[in-house]
Amino acid sequence: MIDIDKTAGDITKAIRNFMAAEEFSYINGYMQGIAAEIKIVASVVLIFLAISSSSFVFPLLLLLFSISLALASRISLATYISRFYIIPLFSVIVVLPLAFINGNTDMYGLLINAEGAKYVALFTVRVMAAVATVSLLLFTTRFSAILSALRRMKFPMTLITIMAIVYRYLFTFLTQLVNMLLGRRSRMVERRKSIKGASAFAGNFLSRILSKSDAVYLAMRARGFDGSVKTFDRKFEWSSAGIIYTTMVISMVFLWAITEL
Amino acid sequence: MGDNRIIEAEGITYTYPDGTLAVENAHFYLERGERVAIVGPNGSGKSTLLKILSALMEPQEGSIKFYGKENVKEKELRKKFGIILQNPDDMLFNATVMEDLEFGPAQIGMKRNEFEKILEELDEIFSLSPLLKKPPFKLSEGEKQRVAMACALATKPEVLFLDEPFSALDVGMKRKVVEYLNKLNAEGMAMVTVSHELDIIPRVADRVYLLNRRVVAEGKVEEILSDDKILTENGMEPLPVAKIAAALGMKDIPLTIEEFINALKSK
Repeated sequence: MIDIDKTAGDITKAIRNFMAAEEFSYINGYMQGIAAEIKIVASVVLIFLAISSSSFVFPLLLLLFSISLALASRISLATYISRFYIIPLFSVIVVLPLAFINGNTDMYGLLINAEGAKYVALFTVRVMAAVATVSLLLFTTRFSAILSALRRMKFPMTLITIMAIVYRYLFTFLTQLVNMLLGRRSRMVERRKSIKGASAFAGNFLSRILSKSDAVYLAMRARGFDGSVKTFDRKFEWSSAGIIYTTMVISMVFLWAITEL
Repeated sequence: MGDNRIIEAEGITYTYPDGTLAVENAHFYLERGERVAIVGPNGSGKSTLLKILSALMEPQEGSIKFYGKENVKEKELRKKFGIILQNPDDMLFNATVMEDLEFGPAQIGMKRNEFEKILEELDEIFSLSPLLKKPPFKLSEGEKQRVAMACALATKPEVLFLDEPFSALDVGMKRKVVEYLNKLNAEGMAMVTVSHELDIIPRVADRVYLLNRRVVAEGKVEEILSDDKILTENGMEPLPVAKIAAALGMKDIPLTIEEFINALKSK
């Protein structure tokens, strides 16, 4: 049986939390004072190093590094962790069978493959470090600043426009979902769990967002959208925070080289 | 006269794909610096006509000229037109209020320092400062409407189109916004207001079109809003103040409480 209210409510809550994170980019914290270009390039480099690590040392160091920077950027530990713990959990589920395939070591009655178990742990730590790095970037950088930086870095315009539109439509869909849930709840005596109810809700939701997407497109056109999303150019500037961050990232690259090569 | 016209539309007809006839053979014109209202009952085609007049939709029949020309690039019009759509939720599609405010000016290529000056002015009227960092979905309906208005005004439009713009504003904010819009109008901004509530019309318009799919009447605000018969026949409730004045046998029908009080005092 499907409890559509709970499922849709959980999705809404998760997306809302994700969107609300943008508020942190306005706080006067350490990472917020660094140019988006530096943060994007650094994040890509760090993620590449994390996923190509064969030992636990670098991903764990990167995780610590990200958490420290989040705290310096005035993001509370609970808020930061709540943003990225879900994805590593999913990745564990995906790779967990490897720990049991060809199991040869007995552990509390379970036959475990030691190599497989090690890989599961390593994979999870890598994912956690990578997601923590991306989360830090998104927490501390305004979306328009990311778009502006990508444009200056000569990323394809089509890609940037798609990113911008997907991001904007998420808000619209979210509002629709919240309104539909409220309307449904206001007329319900008790929660009904049925596949029929869930499919009706999903169908209604899809038709609503279709018409809503037309309205948003009109609103975008009304404000000058002509197929490409423009943002105010933020000039690239090296700040002292940016120089220190770059030095720290270069040090991380050396650390990776020491532990891996 | 012709050179002064920003919009000139003739024989505008629009039918939605489901067969609903929204507007039939409507005409309209707007001159520089004018304040015009389109009034009519629900479902009379006001919003559709507004979207056509602001070049967001194309009519299926009829002709529409902008600045005396039939084929004007939409990009050029967007720099001059500001539009406040009926549902502020449609207008606010960015991560934060600040990004929503920046969207229009950035799209039309406005310089950042110019935008910052405009923002300061808009902040005074719409009290935006506490909202700037918030995601739009966290705003109340009134706040959303204020932000949507500020978004449309952020491009310093030559013509402002307003679709039921005051429905969620409280009395104090409504008064403040109307005063500000009239100040902008005095500086040259033309306004086209769509509303089914007549009480605000005398404060934001000098000329009125009464729409019921077709234009059933047009003229000065005082002519149309004091015509009980034509309003009632077209599903509109005449202004209470005008009804009382008519019942009292007043010759010049007042359209606002202030006018009514002045008329009583002068008797």
